[in-house]
Amino acid sequence: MGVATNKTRKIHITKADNDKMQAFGWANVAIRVDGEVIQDWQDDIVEMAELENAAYNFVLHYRSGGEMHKKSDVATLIESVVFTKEKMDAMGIPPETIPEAWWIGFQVNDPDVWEKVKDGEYQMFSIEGDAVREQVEAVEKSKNYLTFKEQMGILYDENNNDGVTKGGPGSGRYPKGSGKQAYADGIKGVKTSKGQKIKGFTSHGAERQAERTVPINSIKNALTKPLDVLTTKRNGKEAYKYIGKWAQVIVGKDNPVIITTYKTSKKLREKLTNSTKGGKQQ
Amino acid sequence: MKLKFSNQQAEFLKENIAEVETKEAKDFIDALKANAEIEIEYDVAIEIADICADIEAEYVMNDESAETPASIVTMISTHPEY
Repeated sequence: MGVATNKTRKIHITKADNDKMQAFGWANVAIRVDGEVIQDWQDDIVEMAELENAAYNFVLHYRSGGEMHKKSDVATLIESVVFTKEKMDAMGIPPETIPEAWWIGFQVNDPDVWEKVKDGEYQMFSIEGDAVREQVEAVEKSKNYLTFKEQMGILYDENNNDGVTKGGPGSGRYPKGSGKQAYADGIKGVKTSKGQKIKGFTSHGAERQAERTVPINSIKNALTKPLDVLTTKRNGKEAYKYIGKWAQVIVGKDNPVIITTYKTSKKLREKLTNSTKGGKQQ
Repeated sequence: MKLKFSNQQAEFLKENIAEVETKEAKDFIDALKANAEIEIEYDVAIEIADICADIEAEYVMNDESAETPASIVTMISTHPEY
């Protein structure tokens, strides 16, 4: 028997139009391009038919987006399409081009919220809905099963020996063109305020980023526009600690890979923001 | 904020108590009992998270397991009051 549950769906912003205050992204990916079934943070798998019903229900009755559980109705739905195999066939979209998923777009109504999107504080919106959770047979970890971390596109390879996350073409682990490669590419090459050129994540760093849900934009913001940068030295190995408005990122000094990251506390953010406003130079 | 430290986490903090700077944080770790929900002052929690993140990075750079300090950072930095 199923158990009723309330589900919050976070929408990762994939495309944003700054002038129009419009944000777009995948509300839910059920099956990836390469056929892998997605499991979310609550270990739930959404069947395509259920996803389609949920999308129609949302368009019919709700159509609003919230500000990360703080404020509702900060955005209005302007686009919604569920890409099923049948619809993709009808549209002439070749197989294995886009995932079986729900694409959604919002018009943001609140300029303050939009500033947070641009600033990197918000990388997603949330929408809520009710669902019935039913027990299914355990899915054995296989190529057809992805954890939340993996669906987030975190790229890691336990066997790498240079401290840089790998994957995608040539790695033998992730398929060419996977979301993971694109995700890692979002950080690779970023030039920090200290002049470091980021090579990627360590596997540990990638796992912590996902576990602590630190948005990539917040990491980029910390690396390029830090409120402060500290140097940590332990056992002869040095690292920079980039303290950003929304995230703290520790990067090896000689080997510029992201070792770990976590969110900046409210208090530290206020303290450093005030000291910067007071004329402190970074 | 209310937190519950495991045996491993409490032992780790006691072993690394020299790393913390403030008296409040030292007193907290001294009195820390594992597996019980305890109220921790916001400032103390932040100090402990920052220290643990530094140690976490050190362990990673030295190819050692950083699981315990990382778990403390995660527990504090993902707390709703953080």
